[in-house]
Amino acid sequence: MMRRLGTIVALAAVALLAGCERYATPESLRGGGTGAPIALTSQSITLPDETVTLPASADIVTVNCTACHSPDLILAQPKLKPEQWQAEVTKMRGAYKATIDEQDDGKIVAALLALQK
Amino acid sequence: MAEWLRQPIARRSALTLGAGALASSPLWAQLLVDLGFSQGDGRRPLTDAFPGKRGMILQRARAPLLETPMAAFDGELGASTFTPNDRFFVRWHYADIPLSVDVDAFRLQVGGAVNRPLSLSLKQVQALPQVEIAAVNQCSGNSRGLFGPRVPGAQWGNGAIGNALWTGVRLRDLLERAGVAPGAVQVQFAGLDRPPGDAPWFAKSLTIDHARADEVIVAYGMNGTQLPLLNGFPLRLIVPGWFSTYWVKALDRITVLSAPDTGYWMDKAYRIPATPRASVVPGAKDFPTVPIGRMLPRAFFTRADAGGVRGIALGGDAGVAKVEWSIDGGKSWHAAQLGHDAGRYGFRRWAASVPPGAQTVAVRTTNTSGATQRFDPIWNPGGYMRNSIETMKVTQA
Ligand code: HEC
Repeated sequence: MMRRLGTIVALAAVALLAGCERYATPESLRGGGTGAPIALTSQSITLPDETVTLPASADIVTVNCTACHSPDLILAQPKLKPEQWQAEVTKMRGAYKATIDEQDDGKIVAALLALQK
Repeated sequence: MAEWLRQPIARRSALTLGAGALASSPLWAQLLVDLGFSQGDGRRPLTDAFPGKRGMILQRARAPLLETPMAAFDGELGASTFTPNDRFFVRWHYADIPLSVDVDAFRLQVGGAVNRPLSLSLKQVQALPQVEIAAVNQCSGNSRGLFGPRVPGAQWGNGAIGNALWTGVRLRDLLERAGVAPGAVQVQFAGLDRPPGDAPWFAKSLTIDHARADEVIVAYGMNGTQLPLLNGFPLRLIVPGWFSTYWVKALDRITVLSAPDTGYWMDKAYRIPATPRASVVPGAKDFPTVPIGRMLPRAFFTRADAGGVRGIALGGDAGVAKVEWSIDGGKSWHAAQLGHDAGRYGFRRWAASVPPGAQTVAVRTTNTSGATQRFDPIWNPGGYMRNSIETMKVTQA
């Protein structure tokens, strides 16, 4: 799906970096493009601690479902039917290779439903 | 009143969180927003706790999902349409994301079906011709929380979207330096994030023609400065007009493919019904699907007060031709004022004065290809591509 971009125009050679020509869109000229080279410096961050936990009654969910993502994702889901929760458990196992014992599915689904009460 | 008119889309207010009001709310989040979802389940904490981010709606702590409150997009018609980097939404799939990047050690690999595989330092990337483009980055699942019937997934309101001025180099220039071998059909992109255990690597692909298009760039700049780590530092693929799933973050691997990508994230995930507007009857299964691609036109409210209503619009994969408002449920439409045009792929501001009294205002965008918005909602099981008309109840003095 080759598509045209009529809006990119060549700017008269403004050498920014050795031997580097500059192209810009008209919008960048109006929209605050500085034209300056972008300085790149190393970055390092620390993510905040997670504080959301599930109640003890949902231990089986904590154990099986919070290794890959925080439990707020589970609490944020709209009300799902048992078969929809089962489909999520099956998807976690199939798509993302979660090692969830199939024998626990019933208990996990029940606990997920209870969390939404 | 039609059901769509009652959608509480505009019910977004910041409430102070009383002690213990939401036991599961992180301590570092002190305010709540209400995204107005159908089951009264739209309350989310607002957080300043993520580095380089402030006032973000916390959708998920790990892997981070942070949504931009609509108020962050608000501004006068003449104001910049760019979303500040510290308010730009964040969306990672896997928890193992790059938290530290050394600019001297980083290398971008270009390989696969090429004549000369490349391993480029950031300096070498920056030595290529520099281009800039304003473009909207929107999550495929933006507005999923507003679907009816509801579907599982990240329950975004309307704020998994942002517009930035992206600075970088054309993907085509990189591909030319590597020399694409005959028979190449797609180009695959992957970044520094890693899957848990045996889950599939996150990778996305574009057709070779799309990869060579003028507007597809590898960006090292976002609004005139380097990208925040949470938005994909040091390099991010920019695919103007297309959904964010292709805008691979912390991009360090470009692979030219001589057969179509059959990986999970192309073949199974991010697929939409091959139907008009990507819509099927709720509950439908086993319909043909295609990978999600181009965006559709949308208009959003950012404010309503005595002075009128205003907001932002995008054309999708074409420019914004017009934004119109209606107070009679779409029987008659009136042109809104438009702000300056920052390019076909960027946001455009709109504003309108509506007559006195209490009413429900609807607003729609039509793009330069003639595509427009409709009232009737779409439905698909992934919760993708919502673009039905937004409405807001307003009372004008
Ligand atoms: C092996 C890792 C892993 C485990 C274990 C896991 N998940 Fe997931 N889950 C994921 C990934 C990856 C996603 C997709 C995340 C994204 O797109 O941001 C996901 C997404 C979800 C979603 C959002 C909807 C969707 O289908 O994308 C829900 C709900 C969910 N998981 C529930 C669960 C539940 C319930 C369990 C326990 C039974 C569980 N997960 C265990 C990896 C896992």
